[in-house]
Amino acid sequence: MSDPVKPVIAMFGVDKEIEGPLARSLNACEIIRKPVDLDTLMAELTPVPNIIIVQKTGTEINDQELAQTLRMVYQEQVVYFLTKDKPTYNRKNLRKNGFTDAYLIPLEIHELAKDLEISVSIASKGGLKVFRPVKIIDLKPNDTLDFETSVYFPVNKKYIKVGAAGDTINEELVIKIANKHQNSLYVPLDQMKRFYEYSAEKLMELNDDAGMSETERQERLTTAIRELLTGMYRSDVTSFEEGQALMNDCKEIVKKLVLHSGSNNWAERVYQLIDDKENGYSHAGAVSTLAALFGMGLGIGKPDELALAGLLHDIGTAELPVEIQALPPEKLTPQQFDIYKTHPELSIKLIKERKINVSDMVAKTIVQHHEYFNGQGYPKGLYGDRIIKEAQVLAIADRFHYLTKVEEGKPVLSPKDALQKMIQAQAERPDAIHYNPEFLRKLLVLFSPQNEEKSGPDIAKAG
Amino acid sequence: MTNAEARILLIDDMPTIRKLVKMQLEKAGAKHISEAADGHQAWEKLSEPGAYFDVIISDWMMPNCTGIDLLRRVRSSEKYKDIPFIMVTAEAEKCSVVEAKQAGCTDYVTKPFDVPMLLARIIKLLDSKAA
Repeated sequence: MSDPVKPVIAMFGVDKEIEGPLARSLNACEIIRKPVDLDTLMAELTPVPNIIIVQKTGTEINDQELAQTLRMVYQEQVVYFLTKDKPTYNRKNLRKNGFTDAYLIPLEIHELAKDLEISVSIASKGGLKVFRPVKIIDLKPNDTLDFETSVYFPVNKKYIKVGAAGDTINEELVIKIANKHQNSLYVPLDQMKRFYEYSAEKLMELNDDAGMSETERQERLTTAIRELLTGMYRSDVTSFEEGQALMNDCKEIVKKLVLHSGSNNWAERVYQLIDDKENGYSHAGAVSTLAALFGMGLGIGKPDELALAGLLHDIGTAELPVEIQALPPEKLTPQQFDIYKTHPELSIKLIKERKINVSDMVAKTIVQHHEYFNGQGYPKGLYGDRIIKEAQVLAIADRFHYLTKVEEGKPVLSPKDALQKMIQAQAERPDAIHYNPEFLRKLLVLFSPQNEEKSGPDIAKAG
Repeated sequence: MTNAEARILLIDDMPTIRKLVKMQLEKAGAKHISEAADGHQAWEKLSEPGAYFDVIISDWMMPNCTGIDLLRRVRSSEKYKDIPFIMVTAEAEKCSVVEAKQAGCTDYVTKPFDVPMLLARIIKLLDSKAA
């Protein structure tokens, strides 16, 4: 193995305030900061950068010209493009013109952070260690693994190596991790190929050529959602044909990725969606999957409609002012929060403008996903069963994913704990009944031990 | 012929790309480079009294008069039909190699490309023709 090196990142016109989520990568690199002007872009920099990040400024250089220019100067390098200008953000074209990838900021800052870490890790030849999650369910007990495995401890933000390449899976350890409600082990980025080879072999043994591991399903789902949603941001997508193509993409994603599963065990499928360490588009994927599963569990709605509503429920946040997108909802001022509260309606508005022909049911599910059971939600303040049942389910899925994802400094909540927490919060404060209490109780019953053994509701046909 | 002697007509609607290609050509030793922003301007340059070019390097996608329009016009003219013509395109643009070849372009490159190497190839071609 070669020695680690310190990669060089050249940043042209990149806003200082967006650098926060990129800190881990930036700290491992030498940074050259330059303004975006043509002479600087074309000048030879020393040291020669490995990675280039350029942010769109005014209109003096068009995106295509910028892409082609940088690609002519930096033929081998990773070149990332950032823009705040949603109406002209055409990720597909930007990539075709020469950028390695393009990001709408601040909305896609977490996608950039993830991709940048990977690029820096590769350029640094191991100087920056990056781990990818692998679902434990994809690893068969007693198999010998030819890749390293680690456990992530969110409480003290550390990865601890638990298995070297060549070790068998330590079952005791797996139980220990499961007791902490974690369903992932972490594999170094440069060894992920070996995991994929391993899982392909497993699928071949099962004669499941069309199948995929849960790890791969979740990764592909996140990637597909990004492709889908970035195709919807551009304001010039207004034709009937384009809308139909987008609708077909949605249906493909729902069929092949959201509802796909190697398992018919309901509780196990829900369990695979907790312990999510990513930020960004993985939320839409998880909520889509959870909404479909919760709907099946409760006998509410159609899985494909709930899944579709889950995919698109938050797309309206892309229409919010940039300064509101940049902050989590709890950090907004009351005035900003009032604007934030329009996002369910913005989602529907955007879907209609793009001529995506969703059913009335899906449209209502999306627009009502922040209505609260007690009538204190938004946008309309509907209460009880005036909120359609599908939207009640989507609201629970949304909250559930938020509660069960990995948050640094906190242990991971199990599905049962998360539901109990929601039930308890509502019992303590009857004025804060946000979610249908009966649905929460029913879902909790589905996680009780006797039901887990019976593998929950019969969903064999639903996938 | 050397790079320094070659008379080059460089056509691209994007000033940056023109500047960049020109810089690279100059680095490779080229001294006589004329620029144009589209096919019409290029034709004007070609038709200027006393003008003479050894090679035309043109972008395909340009407003007003595209690279392929220019190529066809050049190839159908008695005076300029033998000038080597290099067509440049970006990957994102819907251009066809077949169409360019049929219209008579000498070489075809996709951005990003190595201009000096391309120029060297053209000059070798010109020398072999002259010999």
